[in-house]
Amino acid sequence: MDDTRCATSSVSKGCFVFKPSNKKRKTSLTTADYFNAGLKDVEDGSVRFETSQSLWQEMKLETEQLQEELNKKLFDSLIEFLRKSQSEFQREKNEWSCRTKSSEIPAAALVLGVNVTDHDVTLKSLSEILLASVTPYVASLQSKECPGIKQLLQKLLVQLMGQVADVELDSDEEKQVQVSQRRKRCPMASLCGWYHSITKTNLTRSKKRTSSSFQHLLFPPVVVILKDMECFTPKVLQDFITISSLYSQELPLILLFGIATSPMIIHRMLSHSVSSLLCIELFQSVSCTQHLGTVINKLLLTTQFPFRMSGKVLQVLTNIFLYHDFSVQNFIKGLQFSVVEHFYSQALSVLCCHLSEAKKRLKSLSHNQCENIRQLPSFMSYVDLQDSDSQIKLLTSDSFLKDEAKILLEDLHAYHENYIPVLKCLHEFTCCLPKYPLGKQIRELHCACMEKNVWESEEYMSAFELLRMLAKDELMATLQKCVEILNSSSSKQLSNTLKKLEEFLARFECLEGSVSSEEHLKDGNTSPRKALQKRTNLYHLQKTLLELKESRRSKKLNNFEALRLEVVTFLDSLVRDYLVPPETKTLHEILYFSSASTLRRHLNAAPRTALHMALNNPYCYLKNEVLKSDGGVISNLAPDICIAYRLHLECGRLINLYDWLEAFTTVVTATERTDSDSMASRQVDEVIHARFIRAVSELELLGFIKPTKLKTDHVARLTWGGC
Amino acid sequence: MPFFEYPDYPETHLLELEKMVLCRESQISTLLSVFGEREHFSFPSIFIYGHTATGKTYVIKTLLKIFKLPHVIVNCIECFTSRLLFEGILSQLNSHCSTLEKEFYFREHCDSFNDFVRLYKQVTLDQDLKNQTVYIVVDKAEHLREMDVNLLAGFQRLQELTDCNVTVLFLSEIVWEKFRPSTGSFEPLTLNFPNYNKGELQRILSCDHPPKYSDDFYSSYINILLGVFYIVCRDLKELRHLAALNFPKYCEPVVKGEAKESDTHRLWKNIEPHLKKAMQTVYLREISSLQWERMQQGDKETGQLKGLSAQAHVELPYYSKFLLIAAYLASYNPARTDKRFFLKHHGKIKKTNFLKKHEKTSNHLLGPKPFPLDRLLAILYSIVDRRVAPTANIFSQITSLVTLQLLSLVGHDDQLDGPKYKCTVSLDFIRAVARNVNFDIIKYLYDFL
Repeated sequence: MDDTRCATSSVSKGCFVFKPSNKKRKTSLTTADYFNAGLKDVEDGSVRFETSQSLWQEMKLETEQLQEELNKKLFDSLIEFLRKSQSEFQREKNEWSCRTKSSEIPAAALVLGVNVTDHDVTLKSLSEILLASVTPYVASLQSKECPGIKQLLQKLLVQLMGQVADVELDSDEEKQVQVSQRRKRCPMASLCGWYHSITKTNLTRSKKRTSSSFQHLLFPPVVVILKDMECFTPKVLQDFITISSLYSQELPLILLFGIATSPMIIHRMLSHSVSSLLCIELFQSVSCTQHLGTVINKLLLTTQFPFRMSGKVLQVLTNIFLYHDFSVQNFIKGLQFSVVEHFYSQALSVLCCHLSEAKKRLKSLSHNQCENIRQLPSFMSYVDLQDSDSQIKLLTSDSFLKDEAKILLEDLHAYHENYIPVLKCLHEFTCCLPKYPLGKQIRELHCACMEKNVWESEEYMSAFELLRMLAKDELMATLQKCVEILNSSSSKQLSNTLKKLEEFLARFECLEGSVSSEEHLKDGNTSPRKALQKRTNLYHLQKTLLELKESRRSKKLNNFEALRLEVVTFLDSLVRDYLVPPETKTLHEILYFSSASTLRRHLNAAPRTALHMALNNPYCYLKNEVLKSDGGVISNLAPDICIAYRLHLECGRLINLYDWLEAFTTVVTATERTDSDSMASRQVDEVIHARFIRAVSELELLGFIKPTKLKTDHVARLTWGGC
Repeated sequence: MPFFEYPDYPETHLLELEKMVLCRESQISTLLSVFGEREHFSFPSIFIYGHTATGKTYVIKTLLKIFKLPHVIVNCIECFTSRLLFEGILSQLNSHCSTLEKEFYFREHCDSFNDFVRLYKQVTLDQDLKNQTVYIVVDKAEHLREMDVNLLAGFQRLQELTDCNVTVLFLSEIVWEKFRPSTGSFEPLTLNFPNYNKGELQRILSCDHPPKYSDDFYSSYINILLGVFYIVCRDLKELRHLAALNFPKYCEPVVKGEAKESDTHRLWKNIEPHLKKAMQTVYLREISSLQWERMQQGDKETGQLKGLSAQAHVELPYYSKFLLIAAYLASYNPARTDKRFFLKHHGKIKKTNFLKKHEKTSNHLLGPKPFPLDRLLAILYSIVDRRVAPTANIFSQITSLVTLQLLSLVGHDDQLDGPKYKCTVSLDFIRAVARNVNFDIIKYLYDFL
């Protein structure tokens, strides 16, 4: 019973919040129980769990909405394509051109990019949209379900006709008592018959109620989505297309190919005779980098969500994205992981919520939690800066601490409110500079700002050097954009900045009035240039150029240049005021998740390295003091497999089993040798022999060695590298 | 006076046939003489072959239909298992006479050829087909070879096995020599449908002229069309399709009143470049017929439409690019030369005496060679500037490259021990990828040394 209560209607995987019911849960453990069970600081465990879950729900909703918006354009054009091909199908069959033209199956090639993990979400929402607005008959096929034409058609029929079709194509099963009529026909023919009967009933039904409530077309097309075109066997695909083309007159089939690489694959997979049965149109989805950009913009560069990531964490996530998979889904999963991890590991994360809520919670903090605040490194350094009187108060009085913390929290939230608009403004300025010294994307700039004082970096200097040379129209356009950004932000402190920027804009416009004076100046400029043209000697040319430069440097700035300089200086001051790294802020640990190494360990695991580590240095995992060794030496107390592994590292491609055994015995009996001379008999102890055999077979199971026929009594090594 | 003279068939039917089927007179007369009269036993199996769109299916279909001979047509691609094939034949036979009962289907199981023979006899008895020849047409018969072994031979000897008056017609694009089963074969009567020549194509295509225009006008259009397309395409179906697609463009000057129907030269000048463009795009299915039609109607949006092949660029994650480059190098460089490319102090190795004789031929001519995973990773580590940790992500990237068909797995038996791969991308593709990450791949390729 409990299970059914906890089931959600959502199709996606994830954690869901369930309002605690009045009845006590006795049976299975919930996610919350697991969350609480492993906590180090149990303070406010359930509150933390619930906060994290509701926060994640909000974020997830936001991402889903965002994906919908991003895909809208693609989906709209696809739907239009479907409608058009459908109307083509319904066109008068007697028309001359229709009679002579061979009827092709409409097919849309959807280029979705190499991030295969994201395709599922896109295609799922696509089929939902199609179901809602175009046709009730949508089937999606995956290559791994369709190794042969038989399975493909079976899947198709089951998806379209529901259970009517059954799994009858298997000839050896004798389970049908009620012999369905359709079973005896070829699958495609029965599909066709099904379609006719369905449309017939639809027709009569729509005649009965002539209202336009029926949103689908009279003859809705049958859409078949082939999710991963690349992985289908060409033969299966070709057969499927040929069979469907036989019925193209009766069944309005439309194919959608999901393509990960390039549309060239169509020509590579289908022969001309088959591709000439198709009427292929191309559709391109949004690029994944663009997708990521919007996700970061909407989830991280906003004050909507209290949770924040430190620069390093964001770097880890973007690196995985850019270097490894291009998958936005994985990025979002990483984000979810960081949210959960943050609330799990940071006791004070209970305060990681919206400001008003946080203030309430702050009031009711327990003494232990106050102690936790005092332990925060950022708070400790803050205390150090206070005078001794308040230092004592902060460290002893809980209520005083809470009051102080309230102010600090407010300060932190205000910092974010200012940080984001200013960051966006700075990005507006730097995103169009040549060579992008501060990055092309806003996330790069964001990372740079969070890591250290950005104005101390070399890139920043060179960017500002370039900004001082910006042309007037560019400058004005950027200023205009900045004004818009600041207008939309709610921060109070920035209203002065906004005014200042508007003033700049007004002054630029004033400059336009006084163009004449500038023209005059320009005339002055042209004279040396003319002189320049006259010179032919290289030496002279260089000399005049140098002179020109000198004169320009010493020359008094004209109005525009002075104003430009002013704008740039103002921007610089803005950056210095608002874009300080979050680490300098007190209590930042509450909102910022900064454990990049945990994230990396979980999301970008290195199984080979871990295995090597475990076998080479067992102390690392077993934490047994005896095993602690300083490299090179193999302890005879280590597990047998570790000893065998260490020894095998010293060998070449082929390992002589007997030599290996000898070495193994030597290591294992290293300490015993001194007190007993029985080894002189050179008879290998049976127990050691057995231990060796077990270690070797364990290594074989792990895939480090394999038996070989090249040489007797040898095994081949499958790893490379040695000590 | 009809062309075909067979006293046993009614003359009106013969005349109708002559009108429906063009340029296949000799084949039809052979077939008719083999078929004989309705109740006569005919040759047990007839094998008809010829290229695509040479009228095999069409001729047989119209012939059987016009003379109302009892027949069954099955397509081997559609009936991909022998059971579907058998049951398809039987249910079609069942519904053959009882036209009223269209929704009647064959209800019994038919899994083996033995069952088929038994049930066939029963059905012919039920349907009262004993005293006339039943024709079973097996279209796309080349697929029979991939099905059960006894199928082909069994169908050839169906007359003998069932002891009924039945003739099986095989239609295929492949010659009989490629079929001949090893046991139990019965030599069928083979009949070739040769390709249509230019004149015949012209005659057939001119037949379906649109009602609005005169016969001559359309046939002169067909003449121009064949002039352009005959070199590359003799497929009648495709030509018909192209003719229908491009005809509106041909008529355009006439419709606008700029030219008369007889103004052939002007019309030719108008259509010729257009047809040439069609050959490069719509004929190869680079752009779809619908798009082509929209383009003709002067849709501005589709004006700069790019074909499917134009977008060959594939955006890949950073390490995937390097993995692909490493795979390409491993596939096209001999393993012995790795030292020379990837070790710092390799010394000078002369190309000529360093390599064995067979390695001297260009590796790009020989195609990609398989390489083990270890080699791929070793090359990867040495071409990437920074340190690459062997994380799970790197390994999963190799797998996803395989699913994207940029790499292919060679030999599946040894998955765990040492999988081997081949790189399947072209030189142009890899050069584009390498340029993207500032890697001069030519410098690392042995062929270009």
